[in-house]
Amino acid sequence: MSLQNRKLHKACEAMLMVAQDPVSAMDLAAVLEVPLVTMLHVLEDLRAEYDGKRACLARGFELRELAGGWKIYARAEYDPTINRLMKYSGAQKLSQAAYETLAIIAYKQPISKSAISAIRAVNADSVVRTLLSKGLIVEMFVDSETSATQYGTSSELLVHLGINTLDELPRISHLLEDGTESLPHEQ
Amino acid sequence: MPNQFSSTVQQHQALEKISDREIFHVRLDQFDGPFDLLVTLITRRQLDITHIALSEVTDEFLRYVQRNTFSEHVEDISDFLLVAATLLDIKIAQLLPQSQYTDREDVHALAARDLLFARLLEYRAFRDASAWFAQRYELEIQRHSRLGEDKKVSGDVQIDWKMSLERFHALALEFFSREKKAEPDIPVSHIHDSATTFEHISHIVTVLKEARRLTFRQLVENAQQKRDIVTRFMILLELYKRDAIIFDQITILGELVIQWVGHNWDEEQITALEVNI
Repeated sequence: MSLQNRKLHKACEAMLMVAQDPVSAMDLAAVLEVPLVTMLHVLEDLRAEYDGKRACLARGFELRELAGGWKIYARAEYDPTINRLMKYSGAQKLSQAAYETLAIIAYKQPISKSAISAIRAVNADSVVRTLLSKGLIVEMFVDSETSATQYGTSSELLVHLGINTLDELPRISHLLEDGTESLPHEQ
Repeated sequence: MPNQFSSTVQQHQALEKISDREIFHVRLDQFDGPFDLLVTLITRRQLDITHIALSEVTDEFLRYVQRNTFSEHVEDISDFLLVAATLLDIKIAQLLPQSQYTDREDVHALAARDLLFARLLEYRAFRDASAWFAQRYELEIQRHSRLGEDKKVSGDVQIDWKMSLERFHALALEFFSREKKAEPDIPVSHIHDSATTFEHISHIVTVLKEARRLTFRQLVENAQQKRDIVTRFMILLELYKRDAIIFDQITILGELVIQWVGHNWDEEQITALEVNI
């Protein structure tokens, strides 16, 4: 490994240490003025290094690829330890209704509130408001014909689910395969 | 990822298997909508959604609707009733002899059944998928990384500190030495020299009451400073507001004549006026 590359590793590591949101490899490459491919190699190197795969000890933190970016996390095994330090007693979970609504929005976005209500056969107003306030979903646009606000998932949701892109959502086609293609109320 | 998903679905189903009638009763109030209840009823009976099991599920669904008064949400009642009515419709269609489907009502019931089943299946798919969301979300909220709280710090105005320690020290010395000699230098005599607002009001009211009619020039001729003139003018405006005087000015920027028209002006009213100025 050349000296030049080690500089890149350090600079990249420094940026990741202070960033609060996942930073895309593209942004890192632009700042350091190197090709994207080089940046990706550096990131993979760092990840392997932190995991203890480069003839060095594993670190207490890890580099994760989330929501189209890279972010340093404390290793999951130390979460209880950190909780003790921060006097932190667990974050708030969502309600079953919220998870269902999230799933519907994730798979069917852009989707309106009334379409969500139709699927769950329950009014969606309050649960959509909750998800909006938590930043898990966003208002994408207003349909010009129906003037209904269309909702979609935010990149924050990807972080909260620990995934990189929406493609990592589990396939639900096998759950829908019982002749639902001919659903009359689906456009 | 798909493995995790199927395992949670299995867990979910295993949970449903355990739930006997007792647990079912305990969970009753938690049903979020008619589809939620219907899916649970069907899953609990380990049945596919076919018309064979439907009459039993219909009865159970109706019992639930009867038992619950839904006092709070009118919309919820209608949602439940709509599903109950559709189920009932389907059940009737099955109980009747099935030889001829030409009957319009039967065709309607079948269409309703298909629509209900399709919607139910779709709902079930999302409900099952939501288990994956719940699992991932609850796993992820345990994780720690840089906290959002830091944003508050960086979001505020940042201090750009460029001063050396020596310069800071020199500044402090300069300030403290200046403060000591500066204090007695502030001239305050002019403030104490001028009359109080109360004195001004008393003067104006007394003089006007006596003379009935005076020019503004006469009213301020004994004023020592510009400040006093302004104060007296303000007082006149205030008196005018209280209908104690009227102004007369024949030409623009000409002599301003003030005429006293007030009644019963005593010290109390003067004090009240003072508070307003």
